[in-house]
Amino acid sequence: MYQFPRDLYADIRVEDVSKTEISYENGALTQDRSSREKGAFLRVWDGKRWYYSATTDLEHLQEELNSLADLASPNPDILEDPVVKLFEVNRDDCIRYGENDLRKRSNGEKKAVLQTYLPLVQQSVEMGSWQGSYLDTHTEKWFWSSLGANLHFDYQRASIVLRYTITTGPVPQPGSAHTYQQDLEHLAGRQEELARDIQKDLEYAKSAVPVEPGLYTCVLSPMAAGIFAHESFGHKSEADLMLGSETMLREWALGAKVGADILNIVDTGVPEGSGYVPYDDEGTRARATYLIKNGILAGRLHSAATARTLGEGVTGNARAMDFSYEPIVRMTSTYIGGGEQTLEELLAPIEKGVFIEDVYHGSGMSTFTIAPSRAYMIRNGKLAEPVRVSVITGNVMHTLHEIDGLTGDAKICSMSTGGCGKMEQWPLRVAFGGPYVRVRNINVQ
Amino acid sequence: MIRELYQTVLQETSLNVTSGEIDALRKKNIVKSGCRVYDRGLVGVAGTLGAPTEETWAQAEANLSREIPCPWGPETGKVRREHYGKALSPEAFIARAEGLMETLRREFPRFVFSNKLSWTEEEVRLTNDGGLDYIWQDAAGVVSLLVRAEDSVSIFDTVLESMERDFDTERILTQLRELLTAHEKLLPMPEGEKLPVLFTPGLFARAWSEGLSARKLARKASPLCGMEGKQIFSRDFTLRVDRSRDNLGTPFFDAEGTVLPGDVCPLIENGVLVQGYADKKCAGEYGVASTSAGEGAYDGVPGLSMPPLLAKPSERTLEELLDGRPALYVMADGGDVTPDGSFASPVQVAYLYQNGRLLGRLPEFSIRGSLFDILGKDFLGCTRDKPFDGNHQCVAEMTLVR
Repeated sequence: MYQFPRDLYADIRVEDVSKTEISYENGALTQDRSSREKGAFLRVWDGKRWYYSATTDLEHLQEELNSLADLASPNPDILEDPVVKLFEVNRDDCIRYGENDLRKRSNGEKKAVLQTYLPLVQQSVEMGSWQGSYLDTHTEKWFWSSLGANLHFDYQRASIVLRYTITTGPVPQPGSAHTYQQDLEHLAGRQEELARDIQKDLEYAKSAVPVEPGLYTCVLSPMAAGIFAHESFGHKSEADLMLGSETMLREWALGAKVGADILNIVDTGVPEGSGYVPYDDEGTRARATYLIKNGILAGRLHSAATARTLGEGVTGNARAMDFSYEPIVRMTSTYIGGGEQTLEELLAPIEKGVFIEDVYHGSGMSTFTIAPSRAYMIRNGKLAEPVRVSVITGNVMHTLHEIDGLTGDAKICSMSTGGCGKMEQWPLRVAFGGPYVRVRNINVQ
Repeated sequence: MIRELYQTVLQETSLNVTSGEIDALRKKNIVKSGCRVYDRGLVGVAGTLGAPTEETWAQAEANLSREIPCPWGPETGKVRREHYGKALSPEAFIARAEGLMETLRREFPRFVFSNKLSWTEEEVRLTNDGGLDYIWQDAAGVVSLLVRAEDSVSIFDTVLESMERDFDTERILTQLRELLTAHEKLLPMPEGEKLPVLFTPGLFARAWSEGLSARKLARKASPLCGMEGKQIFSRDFTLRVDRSRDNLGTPFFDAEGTVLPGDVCPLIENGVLVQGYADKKCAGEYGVASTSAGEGAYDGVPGLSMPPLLAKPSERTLEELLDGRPALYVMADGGDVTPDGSFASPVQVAYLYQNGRLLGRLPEFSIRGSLFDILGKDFLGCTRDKPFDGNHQCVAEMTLVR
């Protein structure tokens, strides 16, 4: 065990990450990679400044810790420091994937599973170019702090991702289908699921037309709604982006009305999936945090440092992209809570609108943006012709008040590739979700 | 059998800024080693953090059994070493950064600064026992400061991003003074449906990624297929793979060891689509030239990846291109291009530029247009100078959506 320096707070996070990537491109094997990386991130806090080190030299962590401590100023009252007092001291051995650990499976077994999916794209004359990939990651983490925290936990994911360009339409249309699971067993036998998505892409590519730009009522799928929640409000809830502004804190005071009465947005690291984070990277246990409850600002996402500054509690959202970064405030699984309507009821009153079914990417500042990969006109309450849309956008402050319909079936969607970006740390695995959501006055271009 | 080492070394000192104060110091020293073994037209790869061991080499050799074809083999018998960056000690960097923040707090009390100031030194080497010896080294001061007005309710109002081969606090202050002085003056939107907008080719990243892939061009899966050899954009627009010293942070070779003549290679030349980007596999399969577009994880087999693209600067400065007309310097994030070339993006922050200076900040708006118009009849040119962000700026008229 490590000898933590006196009169300072310190913690050590060690990560052991194993990854597999197997890819075929247009029939040829192009990648069959297994990798394993072990690294550590060390932090020392003297009450005034943090000192961090990212290292791969795991044999000399004690020396690295000592050298960081040499940079800091000893503080005999460090245990009374308000940030230190907020750190949770959890002790847990939470190995969830011991029995179905992906590291125990050979690349041959993984390649065999991938090969069962390749016919979905291989046999289609409509795919001008394609790539099929098996991707997995197993992460094992250890966390120790000078306060006595001692954590050991894991998470893992396995995915099949098919990417392709459909060449039978008026313009080549890129598309993709994927499935995200926790282990190899659950990855098998999902061909029909992916085939449905591919079929939708094929039909979309053949007949999509440019959308007529304008303001529309939009209905968002659970995936699009989740990205909307993440981009339009999730980043606004990350407390580190609020520090130093009394005006912003007044405007975003807990209890303020920020959206429609039916709107609930929750962030939680508890559910299985790409937002599963049992403990954050400063040892705080995961929990559900209501960001918006019935349209009222109900909570924020915090690290210990931001919680201290704003006089609130920790939430389990101090996360680092990998061992080489310090934890900053990030989302986990962010979703809009369900309502009471059916999809048919959401669509029914819309004379002319746009349905956003799938999405390439999103981003958010004062204006949020979503770039749809599959969208359809809504005409007289029914889904109509597919349309090509560059982006949909809206002002964050106004759009949450424009939500006027939710279906009851909220669903959390995990990401097989990519993730959330925040300044230098991209991609961080997160999940999104929600029900189908109707939003008025969205700018569609 | 040839053994090849692909190794990256990152040394970084980074300072975190919160509410205008430096509140954290981070140091990194990370070595990543990819060991490759070429034999019988196959390649085996294994990697490790830190220096490779005999075990890593043995694993790479064992991975030949995974039978990844590599009939083109490694580059051999070439030597080149480039050291573009100068060293700056962590202590000197920290002292300069602390001085910069002190000045910013004093000069701009109405603004709150956050995020990062960093000094980064990178090295990439590709060496093998066939006589290949490529080493590239660079160093840069990176400024990424989010700026929020004290009375703002936004996450941030503007941003200063720059990367230069020094950490010149006077230059950074000059840029920030101009930006923040303009930021405090809110102007009405200028008249006109279209106005010149400053941008870099990265604004249309998806169009290049999908459209200029040599594989997709060959397989009729690119939105630009059928346009090879044709004039599709303005004669003033040349888009090049740029691995020259001018493109800071970019090694002169790709992960396959391909080096371009003069370190640049046009994909679109004077508006004509001349070729797609290709790695060695793609070049071999489709009979095109490799354009140094083989990239990937340090411990994987390199594959086709969009290479670093820059517009070729013209002989004219921004002032000469605009000839007194106003233009918009924009920070646009989140936009996209449909396969038929329809582009749209919200503009989060914009400034009105005229006669050599930023006049003031503009209200939020969106920009849109056809890619073929923006880079065609509406394209004014790419600046010889680097007026903002350390980049040559392309200038084109775009439709403003208020």
